[in-house]
Amino acid sequence: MNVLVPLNNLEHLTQYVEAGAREFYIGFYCDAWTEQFGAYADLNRLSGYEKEANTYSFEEILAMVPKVKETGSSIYITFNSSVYSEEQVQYMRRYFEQLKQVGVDGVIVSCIELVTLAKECGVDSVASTICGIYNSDIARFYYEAGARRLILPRDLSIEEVCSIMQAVPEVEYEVFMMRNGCTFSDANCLGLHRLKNCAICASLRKGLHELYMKNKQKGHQEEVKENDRLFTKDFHKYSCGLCSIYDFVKAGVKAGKIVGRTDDWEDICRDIRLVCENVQIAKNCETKEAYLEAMVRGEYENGICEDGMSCYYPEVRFGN
Amino acid sequence: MENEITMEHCVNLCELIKQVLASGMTIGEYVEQVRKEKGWDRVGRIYIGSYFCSHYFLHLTEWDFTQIFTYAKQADCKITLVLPVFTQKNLGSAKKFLDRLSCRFDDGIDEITVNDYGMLVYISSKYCVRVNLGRLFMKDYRDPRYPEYFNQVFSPAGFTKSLYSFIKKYRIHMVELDPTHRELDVSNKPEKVGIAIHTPFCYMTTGQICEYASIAKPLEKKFRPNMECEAECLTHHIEYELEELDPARRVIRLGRTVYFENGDCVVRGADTLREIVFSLDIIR
Repeated sequence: MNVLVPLNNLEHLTQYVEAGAREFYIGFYCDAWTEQFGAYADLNRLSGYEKEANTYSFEEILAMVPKVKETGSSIYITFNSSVYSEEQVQYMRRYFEQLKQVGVDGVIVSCIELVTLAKECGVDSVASTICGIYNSDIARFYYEAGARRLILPRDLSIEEVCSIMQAVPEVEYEVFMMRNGCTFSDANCLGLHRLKNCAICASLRKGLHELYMKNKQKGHQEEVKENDRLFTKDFHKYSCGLCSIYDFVKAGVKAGKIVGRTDDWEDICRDIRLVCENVQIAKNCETKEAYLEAMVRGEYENGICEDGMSCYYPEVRFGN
Repeated sequence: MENEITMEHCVNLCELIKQVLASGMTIGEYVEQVRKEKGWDRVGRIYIGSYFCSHYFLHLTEWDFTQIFTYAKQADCKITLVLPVFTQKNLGSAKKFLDRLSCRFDDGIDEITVNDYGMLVYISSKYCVRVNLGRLFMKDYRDPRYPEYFNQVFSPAGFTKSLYSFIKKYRIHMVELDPTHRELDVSNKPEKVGIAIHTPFCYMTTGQICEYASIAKPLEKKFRPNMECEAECLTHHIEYELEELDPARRVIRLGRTVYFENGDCVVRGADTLREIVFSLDIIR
């Protein structure tokens, strides 16, 4: 299982590779696109965070691709806004064709329209988590449309991931591994993600809200309030999937994703090292129990591992 | 909605039927109350099932369906069955559930609304029934926190060449939209497909994790995706007051989904329109 990381700072490419990253993904900004389609037409999921999330222009990305390839790594470019119009899809042809020329490994796309376009342009496509591939029927649909790799949603269990992989074994699979959990589905979270107000989950967390319940008993009210506090304040403040690595390595998952395009590069490098080290440990272990005994959790050991609130796949440690 | 459009009036009982029946109302009483509230002559169609939650769907009982189908027959009302996105662990049981349902109530199901491509292919190949693309297919951003974006006349982006080809290939009858903006212009819709608009709530975000399903769970078992539940969503909901929004704009979490209210959304560009009303307050 390769480690896939965001590459928003080319100056740290060497450190990422030395830490063990073998695959990179990156988005870009394009003034011509914005001029054509307006400020609310996102090129990718994080376009609304402007240059904080998309540091480079398309021309800079074209120049970066060969540099990344020189390190023996793969690079994928994100086109994963929730929706594109037909005009926007056709506009993207120029991006895909130029990316093919510079040897990009693939485009990460959010809809069937772009899977089709990528196929027409001879570029490999990766179906993003925005595609919402929650079951094997949807996986087969995207595979048959031409996707080479499927990114499975972060709100699937390990058992479900493995079951989908068995049912549709013809494609590569990628799963979420570290950082930035989400309480909603990437595929259907349709509030704007932008600098001014961030995602809708941020507004929900900080906004006033009133809980309504039919059972007015005091004990129940307190239980509901505490549940809500945990959900809004503690759940997925950080997210980690290290305990799942044994299952994913044995299942043949191609890549584990570290998210966090705006995060500090040193934190990303720490996570890369942790995932890589655990992948090696998993390969050498004969059982999951042996892996869980031998795995390394770094500085997370005494912090986020206690209650499952920060687990991408809590079933490993805490059962189904 | 614009007056000159010919409207088909529908009641959305998805995510609601169990609450209605638990409230002591009959389906007929509830539908009649919606009709009166809206000032309609009649209700032509009822939507049942779920858009957002596979557990809600799979927990619907034969008795629930019997109530609906019996009423629909008496009232000469058509039925649309709505299927949510099933995750892998529920896909097999969902298909068996559908088989049973179709054997038992085949003549009562007028059409099926699907919300993912996998189910679109499955239903189209297995059942001889009209198929609609549900509200989860159309993924235009919707966000009243950004007035400049929200207060525009918006043309849904999803009417792409691919969608046109799916409409033809899978004989899609209707495409469902949410009231995402102040005004929607659907004149770019494919010619032979109908448009249905949900009202008054626009879904903004949803997911596999249900806050309410975790209420009684121990800490380490809370907030698991698509977890088994005791249907806590029937008896709990949250109303928000977001600082970025006018307090008059209602934001609510029902089950796994957060909606904002936008009953004033105007739709233009279609000669006929299906209006799917989700009338929550009748039973609150």
